[in-house]
Amino acid sequence: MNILRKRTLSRRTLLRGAGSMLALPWLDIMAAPATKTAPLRTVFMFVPGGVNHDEWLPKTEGADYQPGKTLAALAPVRQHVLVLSGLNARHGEVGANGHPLGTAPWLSSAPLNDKDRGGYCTDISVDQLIANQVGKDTRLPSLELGCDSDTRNMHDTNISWRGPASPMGKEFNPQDIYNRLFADPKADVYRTSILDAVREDARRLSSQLGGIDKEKLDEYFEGVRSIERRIDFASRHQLENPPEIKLPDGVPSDYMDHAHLLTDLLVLALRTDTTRVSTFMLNNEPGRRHWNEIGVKEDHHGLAHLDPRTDEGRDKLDKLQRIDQAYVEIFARMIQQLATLPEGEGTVLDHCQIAYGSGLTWGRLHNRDDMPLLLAGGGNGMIRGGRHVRYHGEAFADLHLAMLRNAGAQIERTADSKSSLKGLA
Amino acid sequence: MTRTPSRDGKRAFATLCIGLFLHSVKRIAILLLACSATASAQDFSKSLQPVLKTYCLDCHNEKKQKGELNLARFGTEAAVLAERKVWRRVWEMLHNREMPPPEEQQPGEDQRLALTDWIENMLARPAPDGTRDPGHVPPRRLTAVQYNATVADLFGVQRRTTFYDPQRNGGGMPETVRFVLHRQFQEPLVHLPPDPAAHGFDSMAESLNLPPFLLEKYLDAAEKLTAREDVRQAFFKRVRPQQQRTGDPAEIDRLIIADTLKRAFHRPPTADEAARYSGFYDLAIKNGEDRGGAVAVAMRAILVAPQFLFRLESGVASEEKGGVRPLTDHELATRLSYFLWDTIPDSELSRAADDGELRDPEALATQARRMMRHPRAEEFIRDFSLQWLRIQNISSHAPDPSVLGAFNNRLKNFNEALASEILLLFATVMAEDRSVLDLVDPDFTWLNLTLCNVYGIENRLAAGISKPSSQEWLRYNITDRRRGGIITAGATLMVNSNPTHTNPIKRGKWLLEAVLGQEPPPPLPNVPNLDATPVVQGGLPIREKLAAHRNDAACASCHARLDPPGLALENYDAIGVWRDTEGKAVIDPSGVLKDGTKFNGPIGLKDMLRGPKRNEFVRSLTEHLFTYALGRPVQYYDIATIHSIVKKAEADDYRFSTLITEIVKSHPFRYLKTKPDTH
Repeated sequence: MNILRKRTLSRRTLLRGAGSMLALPWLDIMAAPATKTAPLRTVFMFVPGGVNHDEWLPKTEGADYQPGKTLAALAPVRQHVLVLSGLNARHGEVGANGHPLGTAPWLSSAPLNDKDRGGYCTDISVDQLIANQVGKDTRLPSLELGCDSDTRNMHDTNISWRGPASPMGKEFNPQDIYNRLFADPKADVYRTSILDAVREDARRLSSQLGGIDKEKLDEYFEGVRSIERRIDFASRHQLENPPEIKLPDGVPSDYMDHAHLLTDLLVLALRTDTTRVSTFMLNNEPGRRHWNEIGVKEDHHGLAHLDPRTDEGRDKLDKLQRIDQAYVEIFARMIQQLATLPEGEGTVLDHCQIAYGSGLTWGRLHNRDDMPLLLAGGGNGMIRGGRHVRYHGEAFADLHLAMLRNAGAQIERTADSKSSLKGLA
Repeated sequence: MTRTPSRDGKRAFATLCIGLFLHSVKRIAILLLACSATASAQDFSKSLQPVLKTYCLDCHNEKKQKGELNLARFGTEAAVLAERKVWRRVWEMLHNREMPPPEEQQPGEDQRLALTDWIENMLARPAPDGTRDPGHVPPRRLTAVQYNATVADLFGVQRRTTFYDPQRNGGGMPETVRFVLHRQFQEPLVHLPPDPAAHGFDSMAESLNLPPFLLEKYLDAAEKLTAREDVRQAFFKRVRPQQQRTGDPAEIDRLIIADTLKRAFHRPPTADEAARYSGFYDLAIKNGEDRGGAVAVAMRAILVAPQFLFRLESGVASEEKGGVRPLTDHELATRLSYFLWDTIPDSELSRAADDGELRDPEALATQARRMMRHPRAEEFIRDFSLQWLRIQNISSHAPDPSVLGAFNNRLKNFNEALASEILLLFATVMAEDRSVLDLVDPDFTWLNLTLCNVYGIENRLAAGISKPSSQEWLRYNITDRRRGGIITAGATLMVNSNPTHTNPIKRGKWLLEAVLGQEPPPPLPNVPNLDATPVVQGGLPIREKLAAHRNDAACASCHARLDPPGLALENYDAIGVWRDTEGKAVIDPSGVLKDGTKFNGPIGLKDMLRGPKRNEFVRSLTEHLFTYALGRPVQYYDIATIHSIVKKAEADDYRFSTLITEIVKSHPFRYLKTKPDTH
């Protein structure tokens, strides 16, 4: 008989209640040596389709800002969240389909006229820049999540990119995510030798090729190397007790259950310091969900495209706001969880920088200026929440740069950034 | 001088041949002239050059050369013809409205369209020196569908055929089929994420990328698959009894591994590869695995090797002229097999490749004809037809309950039934080798209980069945042409509707793209949505809303193309149920295409597609098939090939098999440019 002893964590071992999961801080779980300051974790959360900006933008600035209906949902975590307004995505020529343009370059600010083979602008995204910097210190360099499994349109469904035309992809199945985080990447005695052999094959094949042919094999090659790095890390830092979380069979059919479960897994990944970088697409563009659970039977994209100057558009602006609020509530719930997890002198949230927003401002206009953005967490002392900071057309890439610098990257500038965004602390 | 009769005969024969040859050259020339009638030299200097001069040459001249492009040097049509690649790019820029830049003066939409049409016609002409570029296909990663079919066949895991088996059915489709569609609903062998699509298909070499987490999924899948008991038993089934009796077990196992390598790598393995992958077997035996376990380790390695996960054609360096070489027999077998079956060749196709038969185009066509009649072609029917018609995601389409009415609680059955109708139509055209025009306007259709209810047709009971059921599909004769065929099918009508109401623009765009093969320009930036235009508020029938929209000059140029064909289908509601009125207004389904072709309603559209527009439909289908077969988009150098395939199909009553065999025999299918195009 075979003696494959794969250390996959079966569902049986996991179903022991989520209650205990919130008990252990990261240092207890990881065998990594304790350091004085907890490491900074970076998360980008994406919602599709822009927002009802009238109800999004607070009327006043500063610490005593007056939120509109949508951001009132932040009340329980208000002191942890910065509302950022007045930041602009990179402009250039205006393309026709704004949805992929709001998505694919959201975290890279790639110049709009520099198109990949699929016809949109893509480049390495800021989360991957950070992962390249800090990823070597964790079991997983970065974690890409999304509630929608569809990746048919690459540019509508990916915010995390390794480079031009090369998306990171994303996981949506809770069990797969758990295994990716906590199962032994080595699996058994044969995996490493198999990887050795196929890496060698890929290298040999790639050496005969050029152009796109070579890029294809290089992607494979990179994939092998990333698995080998994970195996190497796991062998040096043994995971003693994988954390427990209750997971269902397959993917929850209810959207809210699914989104909450993925945020739970993300919280678990952050607090155990299994990864320090994550992106999470609460949905793909252009957001075709029907929100029956909050009494909105129309699809989000259709609603977003209505013009408030028409009767129908005016009547339904309210529904758009309810969708925006439902998304913000998912975010607020996660922030609240992180704020209750002690770590070092403070909480896990103190050691996080979590940006939340959409790639478009108004879905209808496909515009990308005065973008809807939130920034949560203490950022290891570099972010002070509870305020609305209004900017005046500074680049969204300035925020990317600030977050990169917070994460320790020695980077002068990124994309169209002028300087690291001020006013966050 | 005396001539022997035999020499005379030869000469007469030669004269005849030359005559026929000249005759056909003349015909081709006439055809080409006809197809490039709008691209005459006069057009270029009189009507197009001035447009270029006004809008382009300010930046793209001898001195400025913005984007390293000088358009001023193209003084004659011949100069343009000599540099088609440049003009392909100009076409793209104009078509996508990227040029002139927004801050510059813009040409009128009519001028823009005249220019793009002219370039398109010009690109279709053969190169002056007669060279033919077969195009380059980058390494193609297996799609999720192909991966599942391939591993099933590699290890002999049973696959169910549900509706397609022409050999068993006396060469066609039977009168009754009992089946439930499960492509989207059945568990695949291995769960893999959906693949990114481009040009309408998820099997395009360029866009099939491989992020790290996907490679991890392949690793996991390989481990799970090779641990399955049925797969392990299957390893040993392929060994011939003779070897089984006489051979040394380790020797037999090495043969098994070598045999799998050959099939998995789409060619015989090199000695080095065979040794390396057998090495895993030896390693596992040393570790104390039993034979099944040890073969499984080698199989695991094979299943994650790049030679398996990618179909590699270009890896062989070529010294041949222009970097063009014919495909090897095994490469041809693999292309053919993935085209028609989504999987590796069977033993007959492998044998033909081993025997060197496939370089003969007729032998290749013979194989293709055989494969089209094989149950595995069901994979092609599903994979191709649903993507071609853009209904691959039909299972997630959720019309509003107010529109669904009685079907509301049976949405899954409903969507599944709509998709099944299309599959059975496509299967029938393929199995019975009918004219592809039957895809649009057949004299039969397939219905089950659900569809009878949607279409208001009285349900028949299948022989031996006493209770109506949605699993029973019966073939009905078409007596009313408002039903039958792809353009009046519930599936395409519903998917191109909004949840609560019809969307003639979507339907029009779909008709242009999928059926007529035209690519409408993308919408202008910042154009308000139809419902958002203030003037079209308040319960107007959709035709009048659209008319108001067209009053806006910016919208008019495209909507004059998009709206009419979509409006012709207004008699079908958002799920495809027939209606005579919209609200209180009687629906007027008449219209005129941009080129002046008039039609009235769905039957009028069908007449048009069977009549004056039939070659445009066949060209569109051919282009889609060609794209699907090669895994790359149709390029300017393919236009002449496509043209000739359509002509051959026309001469053969548009038979389905002619389209397929002509694609398979074509230069781009059988040859390869070894170096990629520079981007």
